[in-house]
Amino acid sequence: MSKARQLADLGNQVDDGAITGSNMVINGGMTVAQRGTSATNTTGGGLKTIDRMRYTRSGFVPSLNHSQSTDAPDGFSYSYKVEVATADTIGTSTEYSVIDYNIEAQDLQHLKYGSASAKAVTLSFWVKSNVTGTYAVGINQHDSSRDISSTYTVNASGAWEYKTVTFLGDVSGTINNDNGIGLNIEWPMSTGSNFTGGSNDVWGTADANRWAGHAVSVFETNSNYWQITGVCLNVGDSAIDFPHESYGDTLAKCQRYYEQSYTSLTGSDGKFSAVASTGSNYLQGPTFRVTKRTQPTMLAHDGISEMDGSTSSLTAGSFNHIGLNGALRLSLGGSGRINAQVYRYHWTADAEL
Amino acid sequence: MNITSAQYILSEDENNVILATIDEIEMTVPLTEGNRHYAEIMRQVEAGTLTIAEAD
Repeated sequence: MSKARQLADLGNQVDDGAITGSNMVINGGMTVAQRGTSATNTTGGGLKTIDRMRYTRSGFVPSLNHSQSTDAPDGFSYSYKVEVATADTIGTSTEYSVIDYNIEAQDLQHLKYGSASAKAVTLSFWVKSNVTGTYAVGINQHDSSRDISSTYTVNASGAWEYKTVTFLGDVSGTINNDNGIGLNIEWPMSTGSNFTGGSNDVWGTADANRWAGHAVSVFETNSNYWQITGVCLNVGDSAIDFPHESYGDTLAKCQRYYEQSYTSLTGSDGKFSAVASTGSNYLQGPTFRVTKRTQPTMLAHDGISEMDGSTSSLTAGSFNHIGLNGALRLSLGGSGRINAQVYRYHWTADAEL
Repeated sequence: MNITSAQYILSEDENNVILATIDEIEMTVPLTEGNRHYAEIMRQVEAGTLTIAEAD
């Protein structure tokens, strides 16, 4: 390709917003895993290992091993791997399980959804699975309960494959300009028939086209696995090269949604040092490194220790006055608090979408 | 999200947060609509499947 052609293509991408918009997915390279690098879930969904990547299910309960895997395509260091420990069977048409990712609504206003100039977006990612066949991938527009889907094919078992799909802009459904869910990217794994009908590449309501054409079931057989990395959602009708960024930048972006005081719960590394109040049963609350999306759910891990690391007789109660930048205080149970003494505890703050 | 208990916690004589057991872990949930745990608690309260106990 000539330099002139390359420059012309680059100009078109800028016009589309593909360059200036860059990647709307945080941690698409699966580098940040604050909660840990491996976890097993036997019941509920949620975020298990990789920051921002979620497992969601309804009425379908396989036991899964989630991990930050070092098995990744060339140019990437990590992938998110989900492997079936104990399979379940889809029992009804409304049951499902997906790996999904939420994008904050106020970060999507440039897509101009709900107007005639709504912009197309292109999703690109690397995928690897032992289950070959046709998979759906969809976007749910949360505020208007509208969906669009496309399909991709895993051609070979156990090989990394690069996929791109383009979704039309939604001229009907508006994305609210707030801190709620704007778009939800969904990679279904196993799902009932309620969600696999309809048409691809058309926006619809009430699950009509949600995962149209999905023809495989990953989580109904033991040891099946599915891995993903290099996830990028950019404006325009073609994929951009994955925009690698520093670990520190990605971590800070992730911490808008989740932050913890520690790198390992088993040690004292990063344990928060808090002064006990005088006369009341409180410890000082933490200040967050990054302002949160909303007031977060907080958890103090039990085992409040003395400054020298020895275990105290105090137990954690509830945090009070939780704000976007920190919590005022942690109430205490147990006895033996010494006024103005410094104690230490671990905490987490969860402001995920 | 499996929520098995929820209780308001007072601060300066006002309900300030909810202490809830979610997926077998006790968490402090702020009274904020944008918080996903609070939203789920209120959804279950409206559905009649969960009651938030008054503060002690």
